Amino acid sequence: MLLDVKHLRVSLPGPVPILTDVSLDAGRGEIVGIAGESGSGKSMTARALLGLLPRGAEVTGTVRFDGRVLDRRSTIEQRGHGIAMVFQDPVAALHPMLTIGRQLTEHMRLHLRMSKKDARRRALGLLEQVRLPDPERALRGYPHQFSGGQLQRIAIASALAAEPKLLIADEPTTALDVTVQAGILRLLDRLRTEMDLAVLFITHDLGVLASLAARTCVFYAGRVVETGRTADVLRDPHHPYTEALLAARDASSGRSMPGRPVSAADAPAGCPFAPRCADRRDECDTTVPERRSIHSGHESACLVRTAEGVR
Amino acid sequence: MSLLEVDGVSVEYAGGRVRAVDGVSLDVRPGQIVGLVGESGCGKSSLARVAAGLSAPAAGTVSYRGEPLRALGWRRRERTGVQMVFQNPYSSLNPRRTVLSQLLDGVPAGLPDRRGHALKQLSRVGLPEAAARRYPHQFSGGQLQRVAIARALAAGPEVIIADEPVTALDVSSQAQVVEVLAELVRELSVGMLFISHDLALVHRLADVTAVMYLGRIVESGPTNELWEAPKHPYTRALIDAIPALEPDAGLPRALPGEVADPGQPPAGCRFRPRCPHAFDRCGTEPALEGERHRVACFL
Repeated sequence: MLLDVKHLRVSLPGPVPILTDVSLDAGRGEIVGIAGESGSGKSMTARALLGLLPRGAEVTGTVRFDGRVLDRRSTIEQRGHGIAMVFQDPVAALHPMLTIGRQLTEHMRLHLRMSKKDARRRALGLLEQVRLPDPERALRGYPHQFSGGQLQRIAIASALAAEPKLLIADEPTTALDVTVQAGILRLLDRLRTEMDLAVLFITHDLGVLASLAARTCVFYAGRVVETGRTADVLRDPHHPYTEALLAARDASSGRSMPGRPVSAADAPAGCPFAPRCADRRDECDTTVPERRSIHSGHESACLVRTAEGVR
Repeated sequence: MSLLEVDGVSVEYAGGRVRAVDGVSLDVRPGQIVGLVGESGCGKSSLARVAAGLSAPAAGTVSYRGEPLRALGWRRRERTGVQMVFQNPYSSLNPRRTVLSQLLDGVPAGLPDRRGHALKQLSRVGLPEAAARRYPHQFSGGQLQRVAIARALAAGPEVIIADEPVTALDVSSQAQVVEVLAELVRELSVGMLFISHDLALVHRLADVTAVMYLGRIVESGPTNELWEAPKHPYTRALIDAIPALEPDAGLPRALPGEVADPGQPPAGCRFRPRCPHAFDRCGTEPALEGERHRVACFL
């Protein structure tokens, strides 16, 4: 496995838990989906992997990347050429007053010690790779001259500059129109095969993952509550939360989940989803469910709905 | 009879150099949800503001119950029967005033039990009466959007214009707010113009759907017909781009090209530069034609 995260736990002084228990992995050339609502810890997981946590954050658990265990310092060293990231809002990710060319070449010259000419050639190559029309002209342009979809392509090109092995994409299509979103999804899938790039795709929309991600992790309150092959998770969800998320998106079901999502800091003792769960039993209020295997690679953290069926 | 009638409305900006909405007509009847779908920059929010009487159209008319709706501006429009719900409840509600005082803004002055009337709106949207004493920051996004809906209801509107009301919300809150809206329309028989970029959501909620592209309606009709047999290539592209929950469906299809600048729309059919089926005739602009299911396309 390229990335192997085991029992990652992050808390801020207080102590306020942000992530309670996150285990996930991703192989080379594999897209792994991370699905969850706000406060579930999906973005915080990304920040932990990049060493972008707030000051004073306490981290336990292990992160193995590309054959070695990452500590705080090596996490920062990996940033860019090992693990790179694209964000939700490409407008905020790019400086409005610098040309695209400058923004794409500056970090290549600084970190990869490329000459001006080489960096420019590389930038052109990257813009071609992300299928931006007229890359020569784009290098001279400023961010406001591009549409949201084009800017996201530029941001992806920038992230690819140092040939990362893993790209973390945090809601990269949420701010985009649906027809443009489809183009970005196709681009990421193409980069995966062309560059053997692993992608952690963070989203609130399970539909986006359906045909993109080989495997999916569902986050709730700072934990991975269900994981498995995307097809298994979508067709045969075992965790009541996954099921409720799918129902909320399905036009025909008309059912909505009561209550609101909680973050790790507000999570009750026992199962964090218990207060909103239709299958809740007394034990759910006191016992934190461990992730247990349903069948090969498919795991769910629920006391009630197990591999043997509903207890 | 239609409650709200938008007839040939155009909206212009930059002194007429940009025409964001160009000759759009639609109507909303009691107990009917009309979905208006389009991507960013298509003019749907500009149309919403004109339909709600927040700004005046450059051309065309908006009538409410057969009477022309005058653009009143912010302060005086609380008393009209057309109310609006916005995308972001955090900015549409005042953070320093209690929910009750903001609800009372909308309650008509002459009503006997104004407080009781305001509290009743809270229970209509599924919030406890205790919510009235709280401030906006004490609610989640979904709850706050329900407060915003209650405030719109306080004025006793017959038409609600909802502009992307669930876009800023979590998936589970989205479903709750959509349920509240659908129930209100059923129970109170108000008409609703539901504006969204999300065709899947509109499919689930609206009785009639209109699809907008670059300032014009390119297709409109009963939602199920439009969804099952879209006639305009743009409507089809929108449907094809929605990611399916089905793992074997394959990646959604992308639409090539970019939306043109509304200041310089392409001559003829505005979708022509991105349309896979464009032919010679598309150099002239197709009119929106048909009875119930209308489409502006030569195909």
